[in-house]
Formats: sequence, structure tokens, C-alpha cells
Amino acid sequence: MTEKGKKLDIVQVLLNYGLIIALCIIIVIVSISTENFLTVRNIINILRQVAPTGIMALGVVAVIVAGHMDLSISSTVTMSGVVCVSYVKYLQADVKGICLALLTGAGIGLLNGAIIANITSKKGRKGESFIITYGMQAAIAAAALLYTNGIYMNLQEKSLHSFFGKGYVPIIIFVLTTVILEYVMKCTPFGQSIYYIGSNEAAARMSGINVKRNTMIIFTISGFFAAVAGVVLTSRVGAASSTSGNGLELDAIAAVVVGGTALSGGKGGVMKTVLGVIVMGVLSNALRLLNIDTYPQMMIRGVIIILAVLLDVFATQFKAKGGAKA
Amino acid sequence: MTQKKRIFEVNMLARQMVPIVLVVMVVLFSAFIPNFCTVNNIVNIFSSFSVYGVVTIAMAFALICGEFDLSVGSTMALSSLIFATLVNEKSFIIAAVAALLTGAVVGALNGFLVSKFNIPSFVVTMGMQITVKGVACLYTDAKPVAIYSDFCYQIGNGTLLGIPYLVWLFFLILFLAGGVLKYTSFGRGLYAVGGNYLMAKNAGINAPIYKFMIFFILGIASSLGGIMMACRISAGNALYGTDLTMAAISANVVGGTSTVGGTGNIWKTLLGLIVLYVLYNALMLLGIQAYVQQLIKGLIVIIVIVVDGLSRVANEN
Repeated sequence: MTEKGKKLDIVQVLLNYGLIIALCIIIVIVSISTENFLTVRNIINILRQVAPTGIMALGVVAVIVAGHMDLSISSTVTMSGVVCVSYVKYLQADVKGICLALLTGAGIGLLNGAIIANITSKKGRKGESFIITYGMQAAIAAAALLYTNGIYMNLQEKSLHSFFGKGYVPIIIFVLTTVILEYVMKCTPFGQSIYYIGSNEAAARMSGINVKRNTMIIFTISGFFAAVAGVVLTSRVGAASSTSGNGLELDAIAAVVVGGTALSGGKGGVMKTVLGVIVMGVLSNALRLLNIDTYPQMMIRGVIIILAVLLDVFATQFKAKGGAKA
Repeated sequence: MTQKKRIFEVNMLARQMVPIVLVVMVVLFSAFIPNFCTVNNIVNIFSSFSVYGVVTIAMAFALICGEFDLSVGSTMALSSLIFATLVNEKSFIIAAVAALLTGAVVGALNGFLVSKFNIPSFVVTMGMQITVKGVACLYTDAKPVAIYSDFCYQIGNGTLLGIPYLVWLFFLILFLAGGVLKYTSFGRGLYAVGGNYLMAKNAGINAPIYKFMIFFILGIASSLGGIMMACRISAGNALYGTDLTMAAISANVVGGTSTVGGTGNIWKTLLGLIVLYVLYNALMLLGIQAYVQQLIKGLIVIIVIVVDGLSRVANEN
């Protein structure tokens, strides 16, 4: 009996910390086979690289925990990036540009939230957020194209804006985002209410949670942090174009999912997402250091996403079984 | 009483909105756009959606069942490449079978993962999209493959009674799908599974099989789309179908199929396709800037969902 219990424990630990174990295995293998992986410079490099996607992923966590989806963040990154850079480049108005970029992001998020909150019916039909934010993604991407006329804007001079992409600054912003959102999600009534909405919206509404208002707030958060990511990204690259955010939304959502946040809502969180972001960042860095071509890299990333979710499913199933036996 | 009547009217209007919009659009466009109401242009509209339309029909099955598939575009790209390389070396039949098998394998994998492990289809098909895209790019090093077969060109561009073969094929599949949805137990079961998964399961429907089957069908439909695309353009390309998922979902949604499952039918899908492609055609004939066209495409999806959602919320209160 005790032996069986022990066995269960080992499997449970393996499943629960599978992602961390996988991360360690990747790190060990790559540090043995390449020289430059486990250096301070490369680690900082990884963190700098994941910062923009990471900030986006953290912003969208609350939306996913609430059982919704936000596909518009990629276009928000693009839009806020071109707004910001256009002010920096042509008017030398950095502060104004950055503020306007953040406002744009929050505004897009608020618009998403207002639409979705008002058409989500009492029976808890949530599927619409996927298609609404997709429509928004297409519309905002087109708006960014119209705004820039398809022109690629690059920045030459150093300015306040370029500070956000320099050295440790993206990492610091990433860490700050983590701390703020972790506090909001774990230590405030608002954060707790998001988990309730995600696991049972009807019950949350009946227990007095203002579902409409909170839905609007989480989408605003998502839009705002996408805009922060846009500012950091354009500052790191030193340029903005009307396609700079394309495809980033799937990278961000993949990181959230790999970290262990369930798309069905009510489960997951900020720290898990940080882990997901780091795993994906380390993985793509390792694949590059191992000199693997772009296309096999894509295949490996796709398979990893599915495997990570499978692992999560097994862990949950195993826990449910163990609970039933006890 | 009066309020109930008002809601009833709002509801009726919302339900009939899409056909009304279509009629208004067609009348306006015919009146103001010189080349709109010609036989040539109408055939053109239908042939412009025949390839994506096949996948849109399969996507309707998925949406009715409460699922969707992000990997259809990548599957289309991969099977177009496999078809193109094999049709040059071997025969048409072998190439077509191999391409369809590719789609079947991808679809079966998706279906297995979703139905067996209850993973949300978003994650599975997102991972599959990236993986299959990687395979497609790796297969020919991301280069397009030209097709030298005259037979393929004929299939892709030939006409019967003035209507392209691909449009005939689209309508054949449309009627087939309509028949399956309406007259078979599989079709009716899809509504039950999409409407309430647990209840369908408790009622004795083998719900996981249904989930598996829709992804399988989607895989085959996407590879059929890949073959059609390859025949039409006389080349296979890893870039085909990049916007296929979203085009297929938005056509269904505009027609009035909800993304949460349990509702929709094949005529709504056809209606959605016609509305969208009539509009795109008109925008093109009017010479409107491509960026503005894209803006309008996005806004249409939002407007349709908002009107539908508001009418439903009003209905509940």
C-alpha cells in the first residue's frame, strides 16, 4: 500500500513539474552540446528576446483565465508601435508618442471588452470573443496599414523611446509586468473574481460579481500590455512597420498554454505563464544554437505546444483519479 | 406585451438581416456598378469562392459540433505541394490519393487528440498548424512547384455549360454535405453533440467519434481544397491557405452559424459565402484600396456578431 502510494507520488511529481523538468533537460543537453548556451550573455539575450512576447502573454492571461480569447493583441502591438514611432520620428515627441500608443492599446482593449461584455448572454455563451477579436485583428491591422500607408519607419537617433529597448530595460519591464499582474490576479478581489468568472460565469454573476465590468477591465488590460509590448518591440528593433506584430498573438497564446493555463478558463495564472514564456524562449534559442533550420524549428515548436498540453491533461486526469481513490 | 412584440420584431429583423442585406447589396451594386450584373461577373464570384468554399462547408460541420480548426490552411498548403510534385512524376490519380491521404492523416491526428484527451481544439489545431506548415516548407524548401500537366489545367480552368468545373464540384459537395446534415443520423447527431456535449453523451450518442469525424472531414476537405487550388493555379505552394481558417469561419458566422455550436446549416454557409464574396467583388470593381477592403472585411465580421449577440441578449431579457 505504502509502496503504491510512493509510486503514485513519484508519478504525480513527474506530471506536476513536468514542464520544469523538461526545461532542465533542455538546458542540460544544450549546455553540454554547445559552448555558448549557459553564459550570462546568452541568458540575458534570451530574456531580452522573450520580453515583448512575454509582456503580451502576461496581458492576455487574465482574458484566458476568464474563459475568453483575445486574438487582436498582435494588431494592437502593430498599431501602438506605428503610432509611437510616427511621433518619435516625425515630431520628436517621445513622451506624447508613448502615451498615445498606450492609450491606443487600452482603447482597443476597452472596445473589445465593451462589445464582448454586452453581447455575452446570461447563459454564458463565450465563443464570441474568439471571432470578435479576430474581426478586430483584421480591422486594426488594416487601420495600421492605412495609418502608415505601408511605409517602414526606422529610427536613427537615440531618444527617450530607444531607452525602452536598451540593455536590461525590456527585462525590467517584463519583471514589473509580472509583479503587477501577479499581485492583481492573486491578491485582489478583482483577480479572484476573474477565476470565478472563468470557472462558472453564471454562478459568479449570481454571487454578485460585476461580470460585465470585469470583462471590460480584463480586455483593457490585455490591450494595454499589448501596447507596452509594442513600445518595447519597436524600441528594441529601432523601427516599426505595419506588419511588425503579425503572428505574435499565437506565440503569446502558445506561451500561456504551454505554461499550463487552460483555455477553458478558471485555471492557470501569471507565474505559470512566465514559465511558459521562458520555456518557449529557451527552446527557440537552443534550436538556433544547435544550428537547426527554420522549418524543422517550426515543426518542433508545434509538437512541443501539443505535448505540453497533453502533459497538463495527464496531470489533471491523474490527480482526479488519485482523488477518487483516496 | 408591447415589449414582447418589439423583441419579436427585432428578432425577426436580425434573423432575416443577412438575406435582406444581400438583396439590398445586389440591387445597389447592379444599379451603380456597370459590370456587376453580367453573367461573366456572377460566374466569377462563384468561382472565386469555390476552393475556399469546400473547406468552409467542412468548417460548418465543425462549428455545428462546437469546434473549429486552425490547421486547415497548412494542410491545404502541404497537400497542394504533395499533389504538385507527384502529378509531375506519377499519375493524376496517385497524386490525388496521396494528397487526400495527407489531409486524412492530419485530420485524424487532430481528431484523435481532441476526442481522446479532451484538449481544446484551439490548442491542438494551433500546434498542428505550425507543425504542418513546417513540414510543408521543409518538403520543397518553401519553393512553389509548377505543374506541367494539361489535364490539371483543364480541371482547374475548364468549364461545363459555361460554369467552371470547380464550381460544379463545390455545388456537388454542398448538396452532399446538406444531405448528410439533414438526412443521416450522423448529421443530426452533430447538432446534439454541439448543442450539449454531456447530454448527447448521456443520451447514448458516441460523442467522441463525432468529434473525431469532423476533424477527419476537415482534413480531407482541406486537402481537396489544396488539389483544387493547385489545379487552378497550376502550381503547389507552401503559402496557400494562409487566411483560410479565418475566411472559412467568418463566412459561416456571417451566414448565421454560431461559433458555440448546435446551430447552423449548409444554406446559411452558402449564404455567408455569397454575401462576403459579392461584397469583395463589388469592392474590387469599385477600385477601392486594398487596405480599406481589409478594414471592411474585419468590420463586417464584428458587425454581424454584434447584431446577432444584441438580438439574443434582448431576447433573453
